Amino acid sequence: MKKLKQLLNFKTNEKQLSLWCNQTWPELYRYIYNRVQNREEAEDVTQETYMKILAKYSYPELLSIAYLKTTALNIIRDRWRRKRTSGTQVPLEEALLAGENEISKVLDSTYIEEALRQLPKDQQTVLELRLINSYSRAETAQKMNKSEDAIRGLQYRAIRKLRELMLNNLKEENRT
Amino acid sequence: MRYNSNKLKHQTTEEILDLMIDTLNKEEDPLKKITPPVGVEESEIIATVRTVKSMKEPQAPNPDLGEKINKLASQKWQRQRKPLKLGTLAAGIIVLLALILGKSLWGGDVVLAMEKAVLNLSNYYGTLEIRTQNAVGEEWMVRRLEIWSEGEKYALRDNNGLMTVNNGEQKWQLKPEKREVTLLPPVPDYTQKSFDLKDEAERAKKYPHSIEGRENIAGREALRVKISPPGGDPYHLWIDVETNLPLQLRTAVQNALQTTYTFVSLKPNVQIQPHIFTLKVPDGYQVVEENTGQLVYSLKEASEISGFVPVAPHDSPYRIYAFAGKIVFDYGKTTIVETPAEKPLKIAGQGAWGQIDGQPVEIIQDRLRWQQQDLEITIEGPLSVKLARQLAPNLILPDKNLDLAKKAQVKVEVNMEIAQAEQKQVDAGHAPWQLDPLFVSHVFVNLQVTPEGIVGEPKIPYSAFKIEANTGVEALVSVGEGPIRKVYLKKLVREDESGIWSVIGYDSSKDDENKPAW
Repeated sequence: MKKLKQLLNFKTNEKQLSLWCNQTWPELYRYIYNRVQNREEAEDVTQETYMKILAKYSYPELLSIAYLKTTALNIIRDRWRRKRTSGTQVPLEEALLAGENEISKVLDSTYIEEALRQLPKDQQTVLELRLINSYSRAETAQKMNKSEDAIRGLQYRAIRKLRELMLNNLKEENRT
Repeated sequence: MRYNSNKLKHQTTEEILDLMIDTLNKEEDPLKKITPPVGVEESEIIATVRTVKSMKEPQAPNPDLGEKINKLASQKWQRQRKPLKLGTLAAGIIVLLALILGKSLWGGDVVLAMEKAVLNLSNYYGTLEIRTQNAVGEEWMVRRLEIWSEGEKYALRDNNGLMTVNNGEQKWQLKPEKREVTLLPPVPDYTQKSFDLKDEAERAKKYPHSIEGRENIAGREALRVKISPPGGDPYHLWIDVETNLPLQLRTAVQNALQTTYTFVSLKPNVQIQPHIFTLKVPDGYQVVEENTGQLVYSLKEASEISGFVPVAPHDSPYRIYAFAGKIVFDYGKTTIVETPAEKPLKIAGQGAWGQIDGQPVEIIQDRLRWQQQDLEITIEGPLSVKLARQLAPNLILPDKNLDLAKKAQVKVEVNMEIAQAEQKQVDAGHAPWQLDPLFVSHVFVNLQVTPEGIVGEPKIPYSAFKIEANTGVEALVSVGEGPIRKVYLKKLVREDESGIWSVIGYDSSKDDENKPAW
């Protein structure tokens, strides 16, 4: 009976809807950020997810956070696909967008560390400085005692090598 | 900073990567800054950068994000949920009492719980059996389907191995018997509607229902719920007691046959292997391509392929497909199909009439069809009205409360028992002309002319009848010759698209002749 009262209550209470939003958005934002890795896109996708859900369902409060996350992943997938010259799937993007129930190692830090360790030392350093510590190319050049052009070439070779390693690992994952 | 598209075209991947890293470091959306689309290689490189960056902690959002989301929720509330009025309050109390006193009588909580369970499904894998029983109790299996469903993606495999897949980008059928893979147009897609659990939950909520008992279905305990569409034969739905998901559906007996759909297994929220939704042509298979269209990224491309200039709504579609002579805008569950208008629009008999700048719009459930700028436009799905208004701001939907019957000079009494029996006949697939107000008027007027029955060609031809108004519930038909000038019709048994039309009144032509000619 308590459950039924709750069901009737939220029909009449705007606060319930607001409460549901406040309880879900921080987790959803973090989930999206983990995939897109920038604040602007994470905020856009978070808002678009709520807009979509609020427009579609009479009682969105009934939806679980898992449903919100799946909707968000589909929004990201569509946004990325719209910016591509071909409609084909990109396995590394798909790995980033794996749902909660799917096991993908791509977002596992141990796995990424392991892949990074397979790179030459200077490539590891450039990625750490540019991507993890967010230093500019000039700052990175200074810290590594190299020219800016050299840093640009080094980071490119590092990312290409890493991409290759990750693609091979994904192929192996799919085979097993 | 926005990257100059011309400049970017001449940049090396090395330079693009550098710019991408800078953009991500500034917490900005890298793809928003680029005008030209990127290739697969660049996409993979950006994905690799995002993966490495996932090792650091997420940045907190701007402090007003929560406020913005609450504003969206508040707008929805103001738009859709009016404050409680006394009448609503009274209705609420009645519902509450019904739930307290007659939970098993109405089964409202069960259906709400089912709706909630279905909404919480992010994906599922199940096996659906479709069986038919005849009047003497003989039963046989029609089809057995394995179903993988995840958001807008689904895959179906039947007992003959025929596999139908739609992954949101492509739709195809794998036919082991013919060793063939057929590529199909991905949109509009009607396959999914045949098994969609959400549709079943919505239907159950829409019609009166009551719990009849508990039964064991496919090894699971389930509640048997009777669903009674107004004026139609009731059918039954079984809901899993543990998961609240629908387990079985049994249709009413129609044409001495009854069909039962049973999920013999249903696993909600499981891990679905990505290869299920990936198109891979097995060795030795031939690829057959039906007019599948081409995924395009701009209206210009769509226009070049289709050979005409489309009209597009303000809201961006998820995808655009261009065919020779056709363009499809895909908005998920809603699609817009545009083709050149080759002949004048003929509105289907069962369709209600709307208007755009004096031109008719056919409305059947959530599908709108009209002609505009030499194009025939069909929008189907939950967003149809919203998107139609973006294309044609002057869209006028029919007013269902015209009360045309009041205007009829001669009222016709309808025997509701006969009307209900006729509705059941039509539900079973007989006499479908009763869904067409023109045809019903045609039969009615000719029976007035020849009360002994219509033999051979009717006296008043079908071409003399013209729809003047159709709100979907009421209709007015004018007659060009004979003793009756206007026929008034109404859906008395059921007001949706499956409801039959009954004549409730008419205006006589003789009255016109007696009228002074001023």
